[in-house]
Amino acid sequence: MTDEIIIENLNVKLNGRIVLENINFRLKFPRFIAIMGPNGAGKTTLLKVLTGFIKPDEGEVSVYGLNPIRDKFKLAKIVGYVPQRERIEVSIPMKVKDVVLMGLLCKRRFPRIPRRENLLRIKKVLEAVGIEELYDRIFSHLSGGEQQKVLIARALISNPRLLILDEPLTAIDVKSQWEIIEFLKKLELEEKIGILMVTHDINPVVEYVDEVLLLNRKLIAYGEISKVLTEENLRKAYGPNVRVVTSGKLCYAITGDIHA
Amino acid sequence: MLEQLMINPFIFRAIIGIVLASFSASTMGTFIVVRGISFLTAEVAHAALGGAALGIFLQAVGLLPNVNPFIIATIFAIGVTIITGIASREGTRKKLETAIGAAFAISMAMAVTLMGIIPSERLPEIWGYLIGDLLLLTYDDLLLLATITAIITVLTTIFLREFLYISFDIEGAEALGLNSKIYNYLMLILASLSIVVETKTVGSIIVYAFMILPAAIASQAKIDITSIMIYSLLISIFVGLIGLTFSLILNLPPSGLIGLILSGIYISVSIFKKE
Ligand SMILES: Nc1ncnc2c1ncn2[C@@H]1O[C@H](COP(=O)(O)OP(=O)(O)O)[C@@H](O)[C@H]1O
Ligand SMILES: [Mg+2]
Repeated sequence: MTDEIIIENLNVKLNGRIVLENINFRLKFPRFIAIMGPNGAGKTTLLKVLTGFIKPDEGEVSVYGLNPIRDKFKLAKIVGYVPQRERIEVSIPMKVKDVVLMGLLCKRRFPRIPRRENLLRIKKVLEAVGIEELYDRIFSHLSGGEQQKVLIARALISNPRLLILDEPLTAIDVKSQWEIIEFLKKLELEEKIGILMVTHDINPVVEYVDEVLLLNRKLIAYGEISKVLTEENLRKAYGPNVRVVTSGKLCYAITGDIHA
Repeated sequence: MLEQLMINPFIFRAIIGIVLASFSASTMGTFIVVRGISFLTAEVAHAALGGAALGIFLQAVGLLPNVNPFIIATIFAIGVTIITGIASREGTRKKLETAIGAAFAISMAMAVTLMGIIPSERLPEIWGYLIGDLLLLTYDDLLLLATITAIITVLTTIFLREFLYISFDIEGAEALGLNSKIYNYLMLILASLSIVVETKTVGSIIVYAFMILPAAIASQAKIDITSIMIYSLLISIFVGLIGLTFSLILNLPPSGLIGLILSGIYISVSIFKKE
């Protein structure tokens, strides 16, 4: 099993609309790779293809040697997934420890009964993320940054080799953003866990990511950050009217709230 | 008075009906409330009404003489639920709304049309599905309601954790390895069964109040899901019995009174909470 994501000729239609068109790439892990693009670019859809939630209309997908649709259960054992926080139903009263436990129990077969050693493991992983004091708190009462860390803990509890995160930095405070980025980088360097992170705003992570994949329905560019973030590419992704500022060798798109 | 209540078989069966309806309303009503899918309640209740009308019609004309119309109502309810489930999973908001709208229109049109066709002596039965017929429940009805309620309660207890996970985060649960599709459909089917039970007891007009309000009141307390279920069960039984008592004293339909009392409590709790 190679630590690679390979996508060949991927096409995804949702409700008759082309959301992803002729995507080809090969990502080698463990690395810190960002998927970037405006709102509606198909970033979440791409992640759902990788985790087997959406079946592609066309194309070959291989995640660490596994087919996400056929080998869904095997894949769940090696991939940790952190969904977009806004997709979570916060009116469901769940304690932090139960949310994290979900990461273990979903991977088991029925009946899903927690064991004593699982509770120790929950404490450990919360400690690693730096939120052990939240163990007994209700998830929906936490701040956005804290919730995001809980979701990361949930994804990490089963020791994944690849961590896939959907917009983990959106709508959280700057301090939490930094803590999360530093933590992810540490995972990559020290634990050799591959990090694949979607973001509509690259600016906070520019210093940390190894490679970036620029997406807007089609794959616009992929590679080292300085090669991808050119004015031309950013205009292709974010539209001709985007404000691009140059700082050193890099270009940044000012992406307040631009829609595709 | 109390003695008379207990001896009268109509009242006795009505009390059993309220307890059964409360069990199925509290388990599934809680999930419907926390998942924010209360639109399903009204939709499925109307489908059940349409199905019941069809069942009564088929029975009256002798096509299905031995099939309880309640069974046809159940089949309709489950069918509509599954279609809605498919539309909500794979489609956009618009597709979902179309599916719900169409289900509504077809069920109601069917019910109204059939009411014009079926023999007049069977019309009260349809009215029963519309405004509830707690006091007209037969022992056969109760047996059917008890069976369905037992299925709902047992399966919800067994799959509580899975239902909780998919309600909290269905995409995440699936990516973590849970077969969320199966659990989602199982849960929707149980919800529709419970709505049919309510339709038969309190009537399709009041289903919404009876399913949603107790859980909505209980969930104000910000507690865990099992406690919400237990509190809403107690609220349903309590209000159900009070409604029944007043309906006997005032000679009014019990389901209307139950709906009024529940709304009153819900509004008071909401106002109280804001302050
Ligand atoms: N279930 C769906 N049905 C139809 N269209 C969808 C569905 N999910 C997403 N889309 C559409 O696909 C496009 C890409 O969505 P998404 O992958 O969520 O973008 P991003 O995550 O980059 O913001 C959007 O235009 C969105 O409206
Ligand atoms: Mg997205």
